[in-house]
Amino acid sequence: MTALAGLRAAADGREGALRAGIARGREVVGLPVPLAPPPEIVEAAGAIPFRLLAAGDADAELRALAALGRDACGTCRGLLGAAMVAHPPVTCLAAGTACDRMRRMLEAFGSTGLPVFTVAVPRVRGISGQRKALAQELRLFAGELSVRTGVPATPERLAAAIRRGNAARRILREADGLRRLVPPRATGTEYFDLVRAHGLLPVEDFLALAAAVPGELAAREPPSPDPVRVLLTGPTLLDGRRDALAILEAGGRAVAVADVTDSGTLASGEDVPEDGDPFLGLATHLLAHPVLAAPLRPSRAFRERFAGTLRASGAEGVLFRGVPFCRPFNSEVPALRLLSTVPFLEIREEGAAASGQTRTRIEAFVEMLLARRLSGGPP
Amino acid sequence: MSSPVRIDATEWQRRFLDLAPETRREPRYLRHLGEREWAHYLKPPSSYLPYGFRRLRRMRFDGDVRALRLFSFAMEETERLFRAKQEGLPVVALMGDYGAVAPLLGAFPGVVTFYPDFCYFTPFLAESDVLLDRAERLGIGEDTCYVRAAAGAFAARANWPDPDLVVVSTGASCDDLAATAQAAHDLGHPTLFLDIPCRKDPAPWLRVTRFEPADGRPPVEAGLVDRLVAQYREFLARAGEVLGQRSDEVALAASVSRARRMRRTIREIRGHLASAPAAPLPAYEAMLAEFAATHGFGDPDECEAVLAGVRDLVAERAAAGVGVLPPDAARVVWATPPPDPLLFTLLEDAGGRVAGSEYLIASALTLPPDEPDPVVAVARAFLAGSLLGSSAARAKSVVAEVRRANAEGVVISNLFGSSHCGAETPVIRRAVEEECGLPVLSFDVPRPAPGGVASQVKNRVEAFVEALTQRRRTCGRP
Amino acid sequence: MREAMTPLERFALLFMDERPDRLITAPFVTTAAAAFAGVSPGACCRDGALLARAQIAAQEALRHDAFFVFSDVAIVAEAMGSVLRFAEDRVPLLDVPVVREARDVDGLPLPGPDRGRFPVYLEAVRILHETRGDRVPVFCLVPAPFTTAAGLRGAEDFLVDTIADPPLAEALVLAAERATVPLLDAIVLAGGLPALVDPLASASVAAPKTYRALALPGTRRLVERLHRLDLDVLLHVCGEITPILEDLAATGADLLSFDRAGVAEVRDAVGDRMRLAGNVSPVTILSRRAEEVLEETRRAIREGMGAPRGFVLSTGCEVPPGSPPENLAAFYRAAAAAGGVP
Repeated sequence: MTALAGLRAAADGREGALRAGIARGREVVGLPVPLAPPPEIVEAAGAIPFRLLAAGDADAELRALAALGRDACGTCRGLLGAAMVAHPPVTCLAAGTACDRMRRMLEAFGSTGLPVFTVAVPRVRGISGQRKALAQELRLFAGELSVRTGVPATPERLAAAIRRGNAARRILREADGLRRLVPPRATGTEYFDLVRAHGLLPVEDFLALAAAVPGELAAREPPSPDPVRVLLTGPTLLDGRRDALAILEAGGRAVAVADVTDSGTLASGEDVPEDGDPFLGLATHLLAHPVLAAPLRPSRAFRERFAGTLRASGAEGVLFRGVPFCRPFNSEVPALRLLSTVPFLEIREEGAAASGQTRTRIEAFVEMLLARRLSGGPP
Repeated sequence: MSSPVRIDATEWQRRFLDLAPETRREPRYLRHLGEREWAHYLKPPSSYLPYGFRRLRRMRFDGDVRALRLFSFAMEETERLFRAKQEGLPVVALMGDYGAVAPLLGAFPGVVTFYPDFCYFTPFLAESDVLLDRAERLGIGEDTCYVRAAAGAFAARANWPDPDLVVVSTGASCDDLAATAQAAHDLGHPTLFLDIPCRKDPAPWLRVTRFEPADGRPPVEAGLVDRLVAQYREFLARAGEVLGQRSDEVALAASVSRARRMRRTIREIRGHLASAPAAPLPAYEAMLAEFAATHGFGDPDECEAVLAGVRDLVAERAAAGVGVLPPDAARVVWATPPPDPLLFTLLEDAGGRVAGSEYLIASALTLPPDEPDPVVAVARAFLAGSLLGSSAARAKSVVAEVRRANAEGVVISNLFGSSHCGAETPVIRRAVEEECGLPVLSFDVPRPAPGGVASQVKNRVEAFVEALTQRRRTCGRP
Repeated sequence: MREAMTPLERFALLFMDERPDRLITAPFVTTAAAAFAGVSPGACCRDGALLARAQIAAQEALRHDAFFVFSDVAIVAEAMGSVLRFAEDRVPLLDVPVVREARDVDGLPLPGPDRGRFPVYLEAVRILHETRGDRVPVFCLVPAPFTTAAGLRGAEDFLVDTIADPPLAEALVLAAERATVPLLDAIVLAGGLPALVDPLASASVAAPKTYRALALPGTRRLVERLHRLDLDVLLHVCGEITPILEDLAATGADLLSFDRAGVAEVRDAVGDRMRLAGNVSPVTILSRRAEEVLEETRRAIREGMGAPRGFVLSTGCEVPPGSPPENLAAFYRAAAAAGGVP
């Protein structure tokens, strides 16, 4: 078994281990939103972080419909639906108010009987004092969680958790870099498997199982000699919506060499500062690497990141995988199109599994990019 | 006092042409500029028909000139803004914040404010897709609430002059508005963003210091006030830079006092609407009066006079025991402002009456508390905002309104695509049904179309009123 | 990304002394519109639905900025009793004036909006307003009292009256004014913007002092009435207007549409008080070469664009039916080149 396969298996089997932990009295904090609140705080308070993923099935989404309305985005419905249907192995929830729907979703989570801690995250860039305010909010969360666990989230414990978190990020960044090579040494699917495992596993387990993955990937033959290079963007690639990625990379003709999503490189990001007040460090990290990229107004930084990633990745096409009613991302599409120097495909589809039409569109998109390459279009 | 009636555009035109010239010409906006021919704004609904406001032909209005003054004052905002700009007054667009930034901008005398958000009503008043189609071309399509019309208006520059400054309050407001505001920002207007903090009032897992606002609004975490005040202070400094003016503390205090006075007047109006045996004002004009609280329609001085007139009108009617609707009209609380005012006409024609409301602008209706620092007063009042809190908190407000208005039912006009309606409506419905035992009608407001409201919605509104009447027969009057 | 304004938004801005996104282009495509809908001009004059259909067809084909509901200048006189002669291929003409002698004036009726062919106009306005009124303004051209008086009495007799029997002429104009009021009110309620046309009052027909004494007061009162509703009033006068420019400004009309006068001259004389619309000659459009239409349109635009309160590119009078398509195209081409119709 390869290291990556081992990692995948560990992530898949994670729920059972958590249920056992809960039975032993451990506090497991479900995190429906990447990075907010940071899992480091959860660890520092002696609890176990567990990234909640959207169900990815239509039935679960339907269950959430009554609580959120038929015009709620699939991510929120999927997350709530998953909680309602599968009863995830968590004892409480904590999440940032990344957008208004997310905020409403968290309230609806309360109906599952689980305590919910709402972390107010900034929605505007550049307001004076927002870093301190966010740090204070994180401190408040740490204090509240410590009351539940009986383990104070001291600065020392938090600093140690941050160091471990940074080590995990380095692994993710290394793997991310591999898919950008020419030819790519890792696929988008492999990278997102790593990200998924990072969200589901305790950081010690992740470090132990994932450390060998980048080296293993780099050492093997490239999965595809000369695939079409695509930049992925959109809100929910990780949360049960890997369909577009799977179709794109099927047959090795294309690789998602980079992404600008809330669950890919933006979620891993750069290191959290390890010196100084750890809460301020985490706040700095969150503000620099927004939880959800688009909703932070104005959108300039998100767009700059998109344009920069597009340039640096050498992508030949952009694939936007959106869902209806995800306002923060969907409203950015016209701007992203304008910024795209390469062909841009927008998929905006309800449900986790791609329809035949979507499959055809993505396949045709790859065909078109290949043809463009042959006809001498810009690489 | 004879019994007042609601009249249509034809009858208003006839009556209007018979008004004494001094009555017609007395209402004037931007009075401080001196006499300007364009500043006389009183006109009947029919005057807006040739300019595209087709819905007005199907609506009914209060027949008193004081109510007409309110209607005209609201309808004239577009021209008022263009004229203000021509006169060299700075024009500032406010988005997403209801009731805080406008009083704060009183620190810069002469500034004229407006809410592009209120373009929300325009497609319906015009029975038109124009603004919505434009928004769609900007990437803000059908899955966004009707506030997207504002993006369409920004793109064509015909609804208001290019603002000197756009102030966007996002955060604990709706995502639709944030997307719309971003589209406006992308068009190149100087923009300042404010981050509205959210209240976490019903969170089961949160222990923080709270204080109770004087008017019984939901409790607020103490830290929020300080953060908001700091943000407002910084905003005033930055706005001053953009507008080329220094913040005038005396003017600011006066502005907040004026906001307090206006809100008090609106409270009196709302009090009569809830308590008078017969509705002393139709629902549309009542909603306009409430919305005046947000920014005084850009001319707070004139707005005060307009509202005082309406207050006197409803007080007179209430004292005389007369109203614009029959005394036995079914009393409802209306939640969420309907972008289509014809819905009010429908409800009233069917035998209903809006006795109370929750139009998402609680922040504008809350009296700024007496504080030495006007910025603190504004921040505290603002934190009562309907969208800042949870759906449960808003449901509580609706229940409180039901009790205040002694209502027999609740109507919720949903906005398909809005980030909050879908989650709030079931919570409100449950609260009203369980705590008050009253029926609730909720529906998505259909896209505007010539000819009136979709028959399905019309039938539902009529059936709801009928059900309330029937219920009264079996359960007795409230 | 900027979006184009609608014609209605353009006119609304013009009336607020603002600059719209492009040159407003609103030639009087009235009777000539019938051909675009494949119907006869005569039928349009008797059928509001057809009239509306013709306006829509022409506007969709040419993409100008206004609808003009119009048939003929005798419509008010007809509603008061004058008899018109109808034909399929043209607009109706006055046949039997209702006032044969002075005493007939006293018996003139005050027609309601259901009299004569008022319902034709009102139906056309209603249809246009219901179907396109959110984006294109619906101007409804109504004869001013002086012109209607000529329709009550016969043009020649009326002009003689203005000299030989001024009290009778004045009584006729007053009666015409009273009869026009209900129509104006009804047009507004139907969603139209009433506009006054006064071809008989131009200096080509009547002396300036006659205009001042007989035409101006009634027109001014009607404008005032429309202003009471805060409506913006278009006043169109065909023929020579140079001698009465100040009088036209004195009517209080907001937008002056004119025929035979230089745009620059009108602009310099009254452009600070009125917005201007003009004035490519229908004769040029009907009977000259396309190059001449192009040149005349360009000149109008060049001179009009400097008008302090705004300018609408239009024709001096109705676009004649049967105008060569290449000439119409030349008019629109010049407009497009100046940023007008796309």
